[in-house]
Amino acid sequence: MTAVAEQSPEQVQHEHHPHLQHHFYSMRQQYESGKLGMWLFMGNEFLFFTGLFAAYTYCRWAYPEMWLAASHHVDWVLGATNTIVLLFSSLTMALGVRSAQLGNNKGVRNYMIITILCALAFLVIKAIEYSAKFEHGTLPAHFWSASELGAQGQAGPWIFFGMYFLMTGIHAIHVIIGIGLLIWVYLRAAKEQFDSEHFGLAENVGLYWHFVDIVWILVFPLFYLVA
Amino acid sequence: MNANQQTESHAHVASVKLYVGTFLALVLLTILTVFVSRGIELHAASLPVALAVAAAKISLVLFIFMHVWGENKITILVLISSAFFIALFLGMTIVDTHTRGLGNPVEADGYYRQVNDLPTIMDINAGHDTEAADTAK
Repeated sequence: MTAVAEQSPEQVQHEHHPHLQHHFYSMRQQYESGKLGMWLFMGNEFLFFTGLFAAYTYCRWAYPEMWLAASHHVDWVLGATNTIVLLFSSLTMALGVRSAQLGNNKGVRNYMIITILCALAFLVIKAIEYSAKFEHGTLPAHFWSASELGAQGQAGPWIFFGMYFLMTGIHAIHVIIGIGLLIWVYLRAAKEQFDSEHFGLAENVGLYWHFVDIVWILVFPLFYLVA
Repeated sequence: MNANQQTESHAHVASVKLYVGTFLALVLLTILTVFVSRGIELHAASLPVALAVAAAKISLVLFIFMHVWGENKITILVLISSAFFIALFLGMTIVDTHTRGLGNPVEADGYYRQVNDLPTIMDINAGHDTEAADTAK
């Protein structure tokens, strides 16, 4: 009961905010609820990728020499470049969320454009990497055709490339979905919808984008820097 | 959290300097992880070191970019329970795969040899292992 009593002055204060949904007391409550939902979703995402990392752990432990030899056929320079590109996009995303918090919609639009360009650059570099793999035939399972690196057998480098394509591919799908979300934030900013009380969308898309960055921070040393 | 804060904006606006500094730290750690794996020979320590650097980078992203520092308790609870289930998932998988057959020394040895492509006890008995055959002479 006291909670309601505490909320009511705030409710009066925020009643006229155009983006307050009728089922929330206040803009703050609306923001916190949305963010909690986003964090629960992120918990799911973390566990989803944990399944892949568990498979990775087993394969690498079972075939350490093969893993090391196969990892020499991925280009760590391209991987490192993509790491920097993604880290930079995380910076521009964080600055974009900051602009949203300050109600600077023009800033949000500019930062979203830079972030989207970084995401596209990431995908282009990824495509260059993938096309080299297709050219050399270092592909998963029965798509393997790099006979000079070994004919198909029980435990060869195709296992490494199976994990490589699975994990970097699912990560790339997350980047593509992320571009869609960044465009959404851009369109909201184009309608001048962000202000110091209403920036939950930017914050939550930011959380998702940083999560994509976190996955890459793990994928990079595990596939490109096996030593 | 107090009543005054609630009536004002709920944004915790961090400085641009903090974000740029975090980015630069992340780039430095990336250079460090490349150097550790490509520049020097760490052998068995290379994987733990690479994972430690990755953990440091992830902490920076979580605490600063994702505003976990100063986040409310329910979000921290979600994060801690995620970490718990990740540890459970990875931990149980590793415990399973790394200890298979350990209850039976013969089976464990056979599994170890099979996985590492070493001659098994059956190969040695059949005289297929030349090294064992040489020693016998």
